[in-house]
Amino acid sequence: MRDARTAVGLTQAQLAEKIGVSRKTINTVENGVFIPSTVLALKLARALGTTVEALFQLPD
Amino acid sequence: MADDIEKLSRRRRVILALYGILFLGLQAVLFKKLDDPIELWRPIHYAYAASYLGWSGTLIYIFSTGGLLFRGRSPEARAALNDELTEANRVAGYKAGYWAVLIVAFVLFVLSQTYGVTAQEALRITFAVGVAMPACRFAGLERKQGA
Repeated sequence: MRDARTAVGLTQAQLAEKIGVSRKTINTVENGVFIPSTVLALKLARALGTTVEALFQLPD
Repeated sequence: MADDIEKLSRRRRVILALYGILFLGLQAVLFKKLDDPIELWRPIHYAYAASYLGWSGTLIYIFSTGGLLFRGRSPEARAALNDELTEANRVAGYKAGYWAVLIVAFVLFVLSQTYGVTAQEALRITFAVGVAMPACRFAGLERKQGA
């Protein structure tokens, strides 16, 4: 997700503000510490102009 | 707004940790006063009882909602301060409280076989741990995640 965020030129704080969560939520999602809900994943995908599948994958 | 949220989040975390630890630490003082028979209670006893209830209520309220600290903030800021991660941390706090209460109840039961633990003492210790533990666990998680 970090790659997708940097590709659109957003900081963690900017992305957090865009979807109405705290910066630490973005940080923990990017680091794999926190698994977001479907709603949050959809919001993230929309904000980053991509799909949920492109942002998150199941581990092989 | 992001800076504001960071600041408020940090404030909540620090207040909960301090309140929780102080609440547990002050039990010894409160215990002595509140152990007197109720017929002998003077205004100071009622003040202690009121502060005990007030402290517990405030701690539970701040932990459960954070509302008291965020009064007057925009709905967006409040939503960000109570987002999914915060809710997940709250759930972790409740879980920690559940286990702490079970463990304390068991330890008190074992102790009561040897030492004279009154029902009042057991209830107060269990209640205090049940109130403080979730707040401290929540604060710990928020700190770890960089709040």
